[in-house]
Amino acid sequence: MSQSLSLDFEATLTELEKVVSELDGEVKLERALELFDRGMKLSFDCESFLKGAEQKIEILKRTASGLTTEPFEARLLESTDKNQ
Amino acid sequence: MHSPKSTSPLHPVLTVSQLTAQIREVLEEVFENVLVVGEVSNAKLYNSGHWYFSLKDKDATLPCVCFKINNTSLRFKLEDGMQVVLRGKLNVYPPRGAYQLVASSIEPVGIGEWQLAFEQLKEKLSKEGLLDLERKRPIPMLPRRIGVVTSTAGAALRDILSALARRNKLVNVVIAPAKVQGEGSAEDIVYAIKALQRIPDVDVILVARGGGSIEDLWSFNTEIVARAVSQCSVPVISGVGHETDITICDLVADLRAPTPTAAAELVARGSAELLDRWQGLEKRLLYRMEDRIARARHTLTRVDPINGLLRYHERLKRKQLKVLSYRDRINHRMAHALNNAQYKWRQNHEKLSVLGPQNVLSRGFSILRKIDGQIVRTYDDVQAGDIIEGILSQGRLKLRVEEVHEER
Repeated sequence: MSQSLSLDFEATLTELEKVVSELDGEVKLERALELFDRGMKLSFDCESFLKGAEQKIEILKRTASGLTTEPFEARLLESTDKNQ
Repeated sequence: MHSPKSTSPLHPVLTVSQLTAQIREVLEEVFENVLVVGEVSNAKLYNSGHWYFSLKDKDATLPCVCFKINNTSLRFKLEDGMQVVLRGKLNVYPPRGAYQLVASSIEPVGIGEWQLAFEQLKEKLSKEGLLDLERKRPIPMLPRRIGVVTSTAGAALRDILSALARRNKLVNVVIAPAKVQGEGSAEDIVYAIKALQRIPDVDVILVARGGGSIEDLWSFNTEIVARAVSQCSVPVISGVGHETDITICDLVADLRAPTPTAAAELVARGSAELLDRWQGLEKRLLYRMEDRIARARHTLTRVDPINGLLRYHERLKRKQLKVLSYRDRINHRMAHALNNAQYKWRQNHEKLSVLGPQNVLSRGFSILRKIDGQIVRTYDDVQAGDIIEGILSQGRLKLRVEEVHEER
């Protein structure tokens, strides 16, 4: 997954914003339909970004050769003491 | 040298050393363990670690020393004007005919030791300009990765992760585990902050700890943590303790959040705004299109319904249906794809288990195999006297072929 997922998301969103603003104005029906199709496609793209987005949680480990990151199981935290 | 008149066995003439030795003996014995209160003046904190100062009140001055071994455990630094209570013993220094109090402990009067240390460090950093508002860097709206410095055993980490998961999932997280209280915790926090700066794409670092007493939170009031935060190459958000706890780390950080949860929400707010924007835009898109079609329809009803326009009307109707069913279709497609995959998997799974031998064996069939592993299929695969193996649904048999017949 791309590190800059939110940047991709934002770029798509900006384009969607343009489409919607054009649709807000006075446009011919044919153009409106075109814009709508384009807008829906962009909106689906946004949705699939979100569906594909799985928050990556990692933890730093010190090793002999330096630093590495390993996946972190957030589930394991559920059993920790609330008062700690 | 001296007048014989003054010489008598009861009043011997003493040398300076002798007298001083006697004075020393008396004073050091009588004032072996005293408590004394007064104001610090002329404090000199030498590089050797020893502190020399005077304790005074209105009418008297007492020279004092506090050796390194006794002051390293103190969190504050001695300053002129401070009211303190010393515990210690009197010490006479013969070469100068002077006495001083050797302090084994120093306690500030009127203000707690912790508070005093906090104020002193705050003042020191403030003089260096490290608390200036102009130094505060903006927090990136869309961080690629958030570095989190906290303990994996504390509630703070769970609070942060659940706040991030709640707000959105577009932000990735790298946790740098650190002890957040007790011996070595300040060093751990410093190490974690430095380590995170070497991880690619970490755009902001969150330093966090749940609530606790001032002693528990102390590592966040140390100079090494304050310096690590102020020298950090990316902006730092501090979320330490409860709302009412303010630490030096909070003051030095680029942004102070009242709690760990609030810190996570601050860092996620940019992406959360994007989500809101998207949902708003999608609604507007659908609404605008429906509206546009409705208007076109309305226009149509006002003109003569000639054939061409009627066809156009039909087409519009279809487009409108398309608009309305767009989202349903997507949802259906997803659900369908998922069901399909599950169905296929189950089917394949069953097929495989039918093909495997276990199923056949459990129905009462068995497999005969020669010593070399070759399966016995027909009568001429074996000869009378051969030893063969029978594989059953459960267990195996060692068999000897008695007779071989071509037909039953």
